[in-house]
Amino acid sequence: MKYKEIKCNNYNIYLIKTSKFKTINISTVIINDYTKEEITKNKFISEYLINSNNDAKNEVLMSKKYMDLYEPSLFINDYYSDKHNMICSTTFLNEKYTEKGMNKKTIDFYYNIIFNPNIEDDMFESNNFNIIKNKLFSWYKMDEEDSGSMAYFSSLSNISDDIPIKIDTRGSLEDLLKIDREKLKKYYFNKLNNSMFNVFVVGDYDDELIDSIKNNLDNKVNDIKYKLNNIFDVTDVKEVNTVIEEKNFNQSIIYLIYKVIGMTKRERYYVLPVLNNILGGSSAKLFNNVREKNSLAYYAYSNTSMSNNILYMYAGISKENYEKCSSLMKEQLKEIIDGNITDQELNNAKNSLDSGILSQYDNIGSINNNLKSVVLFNMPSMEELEEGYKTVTKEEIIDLSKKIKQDVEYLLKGVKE
Amino acid sequence: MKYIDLDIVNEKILYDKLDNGLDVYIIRKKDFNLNFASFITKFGGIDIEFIPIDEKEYVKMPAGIAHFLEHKLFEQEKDPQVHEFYKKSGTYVNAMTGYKRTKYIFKGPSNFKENLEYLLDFVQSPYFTDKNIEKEKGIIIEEANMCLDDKNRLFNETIMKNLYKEVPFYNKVIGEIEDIKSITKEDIYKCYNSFYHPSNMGLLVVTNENEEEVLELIKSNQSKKNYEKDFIIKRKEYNEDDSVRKEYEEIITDVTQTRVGYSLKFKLDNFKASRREVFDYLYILFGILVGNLSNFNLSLKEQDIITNDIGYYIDNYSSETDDIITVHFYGLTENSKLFIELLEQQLLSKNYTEEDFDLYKKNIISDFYYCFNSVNGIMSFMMSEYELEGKIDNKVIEIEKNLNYKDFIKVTDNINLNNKSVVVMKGE
Repeated sequence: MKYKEIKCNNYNIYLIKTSKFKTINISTVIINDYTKEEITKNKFISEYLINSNNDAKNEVLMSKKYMDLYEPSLFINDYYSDKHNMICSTTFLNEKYTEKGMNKKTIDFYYNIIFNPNIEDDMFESNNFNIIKNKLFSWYKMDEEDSGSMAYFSSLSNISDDIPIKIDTRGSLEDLLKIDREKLKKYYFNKLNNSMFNVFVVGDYDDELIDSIKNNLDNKVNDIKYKLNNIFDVTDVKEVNTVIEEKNFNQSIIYLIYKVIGMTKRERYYVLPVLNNILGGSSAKLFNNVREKNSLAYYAYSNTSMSNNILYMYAGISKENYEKCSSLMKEQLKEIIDGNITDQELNNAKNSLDSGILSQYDNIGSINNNLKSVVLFNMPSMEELEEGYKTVTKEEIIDLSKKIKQDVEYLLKGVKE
Repeated sequence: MKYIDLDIVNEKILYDKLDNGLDVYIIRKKDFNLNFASFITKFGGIDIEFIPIDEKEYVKMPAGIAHFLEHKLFEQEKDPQVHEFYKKSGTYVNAMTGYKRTKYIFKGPSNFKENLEYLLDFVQSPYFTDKNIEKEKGIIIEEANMCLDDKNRLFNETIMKNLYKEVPFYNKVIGEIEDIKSITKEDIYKCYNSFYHPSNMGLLVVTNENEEEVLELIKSNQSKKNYEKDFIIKRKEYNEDDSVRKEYEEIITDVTQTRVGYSLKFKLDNFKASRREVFDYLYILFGILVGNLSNFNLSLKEQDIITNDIGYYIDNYSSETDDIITVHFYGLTENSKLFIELLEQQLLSKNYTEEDFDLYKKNIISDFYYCFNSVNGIMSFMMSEYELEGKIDNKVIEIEKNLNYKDFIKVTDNINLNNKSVVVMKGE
């Protein structure tokens, strides 16, 4: 979709105008360097900011503000490439459907959350700080009960290259306990002062809305520029790292992780998604052979991280079936390498991807996400993806499959009797 | 055929009850790419005791049979198989079984009319064999194993088990592994023939196609199939009252955080209001008393009694003889006794104001706009209405426009703690 760019004072606004939705979606992306130790702090800050601020000193007052504004949704997500991308997003009803003046009030409220956190004596305020600390403590403890999350992060941590996907983006309980509210406040404001800002808007905006954004950001954003990289090379595989972890669960989970070595740009954005869909999309080779034909699993899929050059397969299985399942999953990839891809499989995969793109046009948040990837990471637009998938050939898939090398074999072995 | 106006969001639903009894609801969204259809039968995990068609005696089926049947409808006698058919057009297909309903859904941007006909055809063409039933057991047992690792699921299942004395909420929807192993082709056919008659089903559609043409297509499809007229489902009647099966249960298992579930059970009649009004007023009440507008929730967190917000939801079970409302609260706490004591005080406190009520009411209306902003939102509105009322009409909008503080007080005054059930799940 065509977008407009407005260059502002140290930041840019990118806009897509559409009257398809009753809502407006704004994302402000705040980009900065990071170290692994800062991940838990960033998670804490994201929770803290939306819980209260200097104008609504506790969560009850904050909730009243949300409800006064017809309940805009507000999320802060942390995405890690070689930089930390703090993505602050809001979706709110266009004032055409509520009251005149609501767009401005909502935007003021939204930026107040970012720039005016709840501070007391030059520190994050103690009550709210403790509430968030307890909430995250409980979240970290409960995450230990989640076999799916455990298998995912643990398997990826064994990849032999130091690439962002290895990072455990959940942070850690150990780091949580070290967080100090005075230092955290300094850390956050230092981050704001040293970050690059960009704003992305999708919806039926007008000049007044743009002015509201500018009024909130002008004179608050410093002239910081970062060169963004979203592609992380991997080295050849020397040997497969096999890891088996025994845990007190009923079900076992297998992950087979592969590096894709020396991918071209076309392969990365167009061929790999098609290959992945043939291998482990819905009703694909893994599903049909591991689940349907052999009844070994309830789920069996594959997925990729294009920017990290990684493909992985996974399934929830009984521990007795581990070897059988592992070899059956590898056989499915081998089928692709050997060229055993039917025209139907190829067309099905392309149609699935095409459907995914068409569905994204119906979702205001997805349109904004694609806009961010195009602008920040030079990734293909939805239109380019739609056209690109159609042109992928069977030969390209086979060529790419030969660049796929297994790096990790991981089993979370459920040993509960 | 008639149109149901949803004036507040400037939309309309096309409704028809077909000759075979099938209820059809269609909303057209011209500007959207996605089409979404949901074919729902009023048959779920609790429906295990009934008189099968052409029989005279009640049978009791193994737990998990509704879910097993749902899996098996995906296997057809002739190719293409269901997943294969939908995959060709890049359409998402799935099904889900709950306590009271089973839903078959597809959504995707292309091939809509063929997809819709195929949805009707595959759900209405059962093909169960001894061999394909046995094959499915391995898959469902893996699913059951996955569910066993989900402690929140176990917690919720225990809450339901303890609340109902008669209706079989004591069974897990998926069943136990032994139940799954015992299910036969004959059992599944008995269930299918008893509960998959169109008069027990609804078809909900959101599409960018012309709604009247879509209705014609559905009618034409259904007219080719023969269904018995005046079909009657003979479910067991339970006469469930508002007392609970078990007032307290402690589960000791490998969890890291103690969960407390506190539930109350009422007869709908006690509230002297419609089901929708009761739901709306109770949601507002609990939002004010224990939800995000409540100083109570905040103070419990500040005192480290709970570590997360108090959760709450309202549920309903209705049949020819019963109409039960259950309300559920849950918290993460290491001091369950104190939490329950304080929660009970708060629920009886009447600690609300008209200003709080108005703030909620304002947002109930604006929620419709958010809902009708996407195909998924519209389908979720239709599904929840169908789930609650067994039909969809515009009364919900009228009721919600007319919510008022006087009736709020009248309805919520009926809240009492007479029939409660508590589940505590803690670490070993």
